[in-house]
Amino acid sequence: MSWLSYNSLLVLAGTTLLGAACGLIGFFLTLRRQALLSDVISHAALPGVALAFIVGEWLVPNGQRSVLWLAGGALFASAIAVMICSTLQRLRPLRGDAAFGIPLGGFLAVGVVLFSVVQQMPSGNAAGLESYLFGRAAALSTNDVFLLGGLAAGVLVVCLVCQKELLLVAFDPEHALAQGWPVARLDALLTAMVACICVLALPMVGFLLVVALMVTPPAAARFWTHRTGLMMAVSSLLGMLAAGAGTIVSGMSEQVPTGPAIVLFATLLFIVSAICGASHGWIHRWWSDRRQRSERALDDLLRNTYEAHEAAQDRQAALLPAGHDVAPEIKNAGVEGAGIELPVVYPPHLRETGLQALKRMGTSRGFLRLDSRGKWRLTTLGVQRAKAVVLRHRLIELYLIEHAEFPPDQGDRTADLLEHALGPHTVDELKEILRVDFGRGVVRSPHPLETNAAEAMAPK
Amino acid sequence: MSIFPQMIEQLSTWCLIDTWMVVMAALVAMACAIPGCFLLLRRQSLLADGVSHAALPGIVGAFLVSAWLTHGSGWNFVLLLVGAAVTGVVASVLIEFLQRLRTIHADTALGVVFTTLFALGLLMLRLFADKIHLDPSCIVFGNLEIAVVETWGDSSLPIGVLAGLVTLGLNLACLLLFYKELMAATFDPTFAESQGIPASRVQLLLAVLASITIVGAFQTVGSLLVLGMLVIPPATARLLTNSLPRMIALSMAIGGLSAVLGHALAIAAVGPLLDMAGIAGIEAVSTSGMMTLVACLGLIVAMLFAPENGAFSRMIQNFRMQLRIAEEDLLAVLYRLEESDKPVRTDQLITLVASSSGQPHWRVWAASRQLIRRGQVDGRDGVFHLTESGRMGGQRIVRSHRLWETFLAQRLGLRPEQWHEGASRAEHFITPALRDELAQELETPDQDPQGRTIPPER
Repeated sequence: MSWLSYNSLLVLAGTTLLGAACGLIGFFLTLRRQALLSDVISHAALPGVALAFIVGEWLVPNGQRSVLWLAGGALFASAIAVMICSTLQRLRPLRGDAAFGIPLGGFLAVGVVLFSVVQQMPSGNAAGLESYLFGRAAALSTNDVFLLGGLAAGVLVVCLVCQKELLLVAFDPEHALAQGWPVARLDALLTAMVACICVLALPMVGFLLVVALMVTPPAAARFWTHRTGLMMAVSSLLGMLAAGAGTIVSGMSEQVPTGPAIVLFATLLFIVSAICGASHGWIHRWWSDRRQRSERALDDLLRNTYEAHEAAQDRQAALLPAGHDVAPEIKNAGVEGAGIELPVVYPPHLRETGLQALKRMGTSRGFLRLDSRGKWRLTTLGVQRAKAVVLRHRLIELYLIEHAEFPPDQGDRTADLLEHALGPHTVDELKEILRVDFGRGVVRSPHPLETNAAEAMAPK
Repeated sequence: MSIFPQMIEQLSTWCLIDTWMVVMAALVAMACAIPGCFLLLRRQSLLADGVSHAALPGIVGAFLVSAWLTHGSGWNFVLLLVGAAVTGVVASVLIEFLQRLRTIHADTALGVVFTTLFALGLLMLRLFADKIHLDPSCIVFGNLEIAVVETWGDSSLPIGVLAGLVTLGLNLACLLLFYKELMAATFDPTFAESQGIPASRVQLLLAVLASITIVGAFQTVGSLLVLGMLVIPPATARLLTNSLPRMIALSMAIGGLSAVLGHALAIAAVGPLLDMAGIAGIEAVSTSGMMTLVACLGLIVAMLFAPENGAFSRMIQNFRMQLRIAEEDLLAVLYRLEESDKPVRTDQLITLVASSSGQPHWRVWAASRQLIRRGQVDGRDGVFHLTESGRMGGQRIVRSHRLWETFLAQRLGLRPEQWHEGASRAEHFITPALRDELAQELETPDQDPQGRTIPPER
């Protein structure tokens, strides 16, 4: 278990700290929709590192190149790349992707040329520059780890201190500008922190994969929550986990390079998040879709029952001679309603399997009840709910016919589609707009109800 | 000093291998130009970046399969192309799938997919290092010096040249076959959809073409460095022309030229230059890097000197407009002075116009010389006089100014102190047709709100 040695544990601590910092900064970066700026910065770091090496060799031949010196070179080149990016953005034909792609390709080319120079220099092969290409965390010395870790912690602190300002700029730069915030300076701060973290993470994951640590954890965090603070925490936690797991695995096996291991763990976490995430994950979506569908079916059942009874009542009232009254069960359905339980009338085209689930759901909500004769009834609560559903449907239908000039037959069908999407607030607004009479709690249907009550009330 | 003889000496060692290297690089660069142009116009250059990273597992996978098929004695170019096409499709399908989730932004999706595939490729390389003999930095950054040695069978034709020919041919064939579809989907996606050209199909075609081109190029310029060739020559060509066929032809030419110049500079120029700077012993630098660098230089030149979009032509356009404004200001002031019959000395007049319009003194002076040269102003005996054509010009400007002031006052209801400022700016951009419209709209006024006569149109 070589990875349990002091040095390995130290490297592990350093990489997890860097992972957390990457996740946090990357969160702001993706929020600002500049995810690929980190790509440009890290590619630009390659010629920066090589240039710093060459200049160092020129100043002090065969000297020791400190990580900090090389990081300084990388930072310098990154700054130039960012400036080139923003210059190119101002050229209309090259705006957008090309403005990122040109410095990417250009700096890569400079880097390759400079690296081929470094390799021909007498001390070039001893430089350990290879680790900047593909990342080798285990090659870091104790001092390097303290240095990188300390700087990463510094960036983390700055980021947390300026959190509010950075969020403001990321969410709504125009608004922030109008409020008098120094948006350009905050943007520059964010870019500078991205550059710092990219450069620090270089020897760990290599310049090609730093982007992954900046982009993947924030993307994964989006599947877990809507809340900004929580998303930030999740993002840095995922970055930390990926960096830690990658370092451990590559420490255990000689053959597994650190950078790819960390990135693949980050992707694994991303996939897990996309499936299990608590707010946008696949399982969550599937489950809430299903619940919504059965909720709609239950509403349809309630409305169908209510309307069937209402139609039956109307028909009986029309047939009976004056002085006679309709059966109390039917009469109470439409008019007085409260305190009366109605036998369930099933809508057509309802599948048997769906029906069982529907009955269970209705019972647990207290809308349905099995009576002593083995028939399903709407409870008083269910009748209340049914009235609300019917009212909502008819308000929409009325609105469509009166204000949107729908032909009456289309109004009904469109209301079928709309009713489940409108919240109670919209229904209140509709009441305001339509100013209908709510004497009975429910308005009359704008179109004749065609339900054959006698047939519909037959037990299913 | 002694650098040129040194360079020529280096160049005189040019041999057949150098020629093959240049041919290889040029073929690749020309092949890249075709998908590169369309990606640039669709503002999807970063898709090229994504695919160039994602190609790595395809390359390694193809090598593994061919090593397994041939028991470790070489590799199969057809398999490589298949591997490329497969990764291109996989990468673009994955990116599209993630974008459809709508939880994450498009560029984030791109980042997640390409870094993952690249990491996968690196891991495969390391894990199966004993089965295939591939150096990661060779794949990613290319190595022409090694590629040129691998020849096709017993002939002296390097495989890289063959690969370049095949990818170039494939790209040209697709360009000719699908030119209409590609163009429609690039410039007017809605129209393309209505003509039954599905955008997603065209997208996939481009991704696969880019992927095949990248894999065809990996030996020569490297799977990552090829990004430069996909983006930079098309960008240069875009700055130089507005027509698509010309843009494609130009970027192919620029790509080919960069290959030739890049190799020449790599073997002959960088070593002596570094020698002068005190770093001795550098023989030749990476040709693939140098050719991209030459393409970059070409782009910088285009950014400075392109006829329409270049920095210099813009500066010239700007200067011309500012000069025109100064000339018009001068004419207008002279016209007003003539109205009140107050002759002013030449130098005083220039100072007056410069201070009232906020323009530098020299520009107003240059404008006055220009007016004299054109015979609109007579500058003898130290006083400026308008000639007949100059009076006509001044009258037009003053008419525009006063009509606009009237409009601002009557129709927009601005306060008196706002009239002059707005009119001084607008007068330079009011055409004769607009003047007529204004006059009609205001019912041909003969006085502006300050009671000055609005001169008639001439």
